[in-house]
Amino acid sequence: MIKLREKYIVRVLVLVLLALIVGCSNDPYRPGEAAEHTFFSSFATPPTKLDPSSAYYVHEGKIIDQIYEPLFTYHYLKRPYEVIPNTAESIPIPVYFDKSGKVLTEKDPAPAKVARVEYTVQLKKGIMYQNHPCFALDADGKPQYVNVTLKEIKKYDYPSEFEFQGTRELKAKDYALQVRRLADPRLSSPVFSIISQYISGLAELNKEYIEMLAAERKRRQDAAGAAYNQEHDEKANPIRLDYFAPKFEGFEVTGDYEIKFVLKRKYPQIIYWMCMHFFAPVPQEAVDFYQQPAMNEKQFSLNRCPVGSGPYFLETFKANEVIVLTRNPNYHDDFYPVEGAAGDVEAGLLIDAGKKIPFIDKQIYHLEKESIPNWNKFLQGYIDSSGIANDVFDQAVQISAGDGALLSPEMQEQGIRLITDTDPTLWYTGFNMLDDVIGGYSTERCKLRQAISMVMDYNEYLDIFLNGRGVLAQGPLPPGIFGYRDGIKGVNPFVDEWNAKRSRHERQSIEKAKALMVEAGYPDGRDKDGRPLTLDYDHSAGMDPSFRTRFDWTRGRLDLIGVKLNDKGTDLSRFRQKRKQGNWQISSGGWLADYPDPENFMFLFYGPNGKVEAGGPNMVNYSSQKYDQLFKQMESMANGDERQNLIDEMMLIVQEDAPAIWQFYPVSYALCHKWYKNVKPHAMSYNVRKYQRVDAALRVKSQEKWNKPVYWPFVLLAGLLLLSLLPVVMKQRLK
Amino acid sequence: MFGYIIRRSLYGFPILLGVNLLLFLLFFYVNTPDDMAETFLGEKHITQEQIDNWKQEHGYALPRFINTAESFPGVITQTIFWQKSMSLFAFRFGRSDQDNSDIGTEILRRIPYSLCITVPVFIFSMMLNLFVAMIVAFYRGTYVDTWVLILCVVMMSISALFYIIYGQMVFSILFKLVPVSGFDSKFPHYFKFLMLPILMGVISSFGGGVRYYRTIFLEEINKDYIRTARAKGLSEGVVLFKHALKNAMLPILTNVVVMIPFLIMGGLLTENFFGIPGLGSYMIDAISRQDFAVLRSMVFLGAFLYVISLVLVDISYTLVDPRIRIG
Repeated sequence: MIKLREKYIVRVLVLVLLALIVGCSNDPYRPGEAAEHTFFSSFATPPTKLDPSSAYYVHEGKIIDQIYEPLFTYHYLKRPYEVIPNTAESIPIPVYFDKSGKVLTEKDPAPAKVARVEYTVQLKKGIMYQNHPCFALDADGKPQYVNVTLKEIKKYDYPSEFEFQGTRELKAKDYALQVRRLADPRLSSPVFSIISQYISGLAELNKEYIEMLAAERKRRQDAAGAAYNQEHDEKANPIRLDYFAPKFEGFEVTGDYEIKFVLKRKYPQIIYWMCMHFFAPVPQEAVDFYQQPAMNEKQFSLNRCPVGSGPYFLETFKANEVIVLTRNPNYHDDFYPVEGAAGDVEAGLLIDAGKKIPFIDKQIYHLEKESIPNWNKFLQGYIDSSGIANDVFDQAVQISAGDGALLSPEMQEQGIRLITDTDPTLWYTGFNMLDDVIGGYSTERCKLRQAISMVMDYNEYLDIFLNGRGVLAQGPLPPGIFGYRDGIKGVNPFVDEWNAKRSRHERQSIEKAKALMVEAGYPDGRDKDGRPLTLDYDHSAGMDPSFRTRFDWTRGRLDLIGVKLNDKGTDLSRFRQKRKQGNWQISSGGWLADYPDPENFMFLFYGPNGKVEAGGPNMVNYSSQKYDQLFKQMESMANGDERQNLIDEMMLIVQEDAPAIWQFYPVSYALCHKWYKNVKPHAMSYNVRKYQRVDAALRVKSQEKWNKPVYWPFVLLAGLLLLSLLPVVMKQRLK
Repeated sequence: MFGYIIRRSLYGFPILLGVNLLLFLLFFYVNTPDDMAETFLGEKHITQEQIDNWKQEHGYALPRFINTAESFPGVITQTIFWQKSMSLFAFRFGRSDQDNSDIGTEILRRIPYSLCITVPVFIFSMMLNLFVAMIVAFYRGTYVDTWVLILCVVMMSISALFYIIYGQMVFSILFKLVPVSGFDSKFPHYFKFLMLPILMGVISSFGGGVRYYRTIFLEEINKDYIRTARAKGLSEGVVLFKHALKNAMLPILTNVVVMIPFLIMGGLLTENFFGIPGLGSYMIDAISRQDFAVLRSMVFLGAFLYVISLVLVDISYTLVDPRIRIG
């Protein structure tokens, strides 16, 4: 009996094992998912803020920009980037007023004349929000989910699972609410400090909200006494701020479909800001819905569960596992662009011209923290597109002298496409202009900085550290931004030269750098007393394993002109302090475009933006009267010849003064499978998935072809193991 | 017995207080709330006013240790130390600095994911290691013993990261049997994601485990009662599996109970490379995002579990070995 049972157990175990082995597959998705019109991708960093007021990073924007709809957006295909209406009927024309309140009749008045600017925007009618429980109404027409208890909603993991859902039309007041929310100190909007300089009354509104919150907290603290804990108190009972209580003229609702926003001064870049999710509509119903204690307890909030009118809605948000975006069934009519930039027709980007979008029904993003597993999944066909990590660059791309970057034959065989684009991003190494040794504006100091810039060959750096993925920078303005000049016209004459043969900018020779060092008073890198010029490199990158090799490269380059470099690494806290106090010599920085306007880069060297003086983005504390003057003229000017001339002039000033070593503009490389179509890199907008499509049948076919399981090694291994044990078992038995 | 447990537990309190104090000094003096604010506000367009607001909203605007503006007991309770550090003793972990989510809820949500990996790894590796160790002890002095020992030393010398990366390469890329990484919390989809990390966990602990248990068994095998058992004419298998195993339980138990906090806290590397959303992964995220509220809570929780497990070890001794009595 016992023997029979043992036999039975063994047989079951063997069968289970066999079933497990035979049923094995490396497909990470549920059966049938790949055959649907689904886009598969991954995310390395879990998004933490999906509230349009506070979401700031790219990985957060990639999610919420597909859910929320700002008034304006960017054309998908046209380059240079062009702003087009999104939920607005048209791009508004600003009305300028002078100090006396009179309308200025000039089309583009000088900034000094303008005391107030008004924009009036008409909204498109009939735009509906996604289905969401915050809009659900009961039989009496009242909100379904008011004063809900935790028990009532315990079974739901996400608002999309709630039994009752509803929708309503997008109205102007939703935009007004969101702009007011930007002033809510609890949301810590990262753009508040900059936009409050322009939007009339926003800074004052923030102060009023601070006072309202402080009064409520004081009341609660008095009631609770010494046991009061703000954090725990507001977790259990969030403060409901009446956003519309204070007056605010900066963003007024003048009708159900009409908004008027008012600026304190001329600032045409406001239209770019209005393309961002910070200015997307938020319905009052959603704010009220999420402010209920039970929702708070369940961690349902705008930070995790957005409510929008965009092409997709968030169906599942498990920030540490999977994010699923599903096509919004209420999405308004939207169509693929019918015109694009040069080369788009040839690239097949206009095949879908005029067709209704979105094409993709679902987007599934799985958490993939490490680059190697992510890359392997891409090669297996389970991820539709991928970047290229440094470790696998050689496996994917071959750089040839004549043709540039080409995909490896294996990649080509798989039908993978390589898409490259120069990012509107600047990397630079700044010189602290307040420093006694390396700063200052005398001819000698300028020549010293030019010499150092000249010897820092970032073409070499790109080859060594970034597989050539970048373009040598010539100044603050990257390609793709108005004012940037390519080729020989764009060369920095003080440091670089144009190599026509290789069609690229290159640093001038080491001999020229040495000659400049002599003119700067440092022949062979030594001062008049014969002491070597020694500079300090400040950073907080000590934990970065690649820093040491990059630092050694920098030190080696400077050694060529006799300049010594000290590593002044410190922790982030001390490093920031040093920057604030101007207590540093050399340090690296970068700037990613907020919007495609030269002002967004040229202000990095505008005097009043100095880090020490005003805590601004001018990290190097550069201050040139002439540059500042030209900047004031250029910043609010319309693009055209006049603006280009001003930019050219400013570039020359900043290139000659050399407050920074212009490192490079990075080039992004992306790989796409053959079934993933209509892909064009867009550096300004993340709401691009709606234009793209996947050929699901081709994907399934390829995945099956590339992922046939292999079993024989296990049979072999088991056999070998048994064989190896056989002699000793037999010997023991004989014993 | 009850008094003993209470006494042992109270011994742990000063340790936890010390951990708490050290954490506080580390998180609020080395890295100030101003730094945290700058990190979370994005560093691009921020003003001191915004930093102050952020601190106010996250409860960091209070004095660190003593609030002179308040009368007793507010002098102590209305401070960062009391509200952020002492509240940990009541398991009130507060909210994440990064996304305002409730840390306690998040920890509870993630524990099962960690356990999904660590418990099977723990059970399977213990069973396998004990079994192999006994076999090796059984065949001691033969080529099986020699080769298994060599294999163990080699396997112990290899980093856990190697097992993970090569495991992914062999089982997912070459043999195409399991997904490279990822997780699906829905039943039964998660099984396919668990197989490889569990297998790699078992393999990576094989070398050390077998050697450890083999040493214990060999020590037991040379004792008098084993000689007696053999003299009684019992087979070598019965001697080993029945008598030696029972008596080797004490060191085995020590090893097992001390592992409890590590089971709950998850595996940093495994979870990160396989994309398992457990507590190990939570910790890594908190480090990379500089979410000090989460880090504080996790370090405290780790210390707490460790203290608890040591108490459990003491208690388990009395259960396994009747010779140990508590006075």
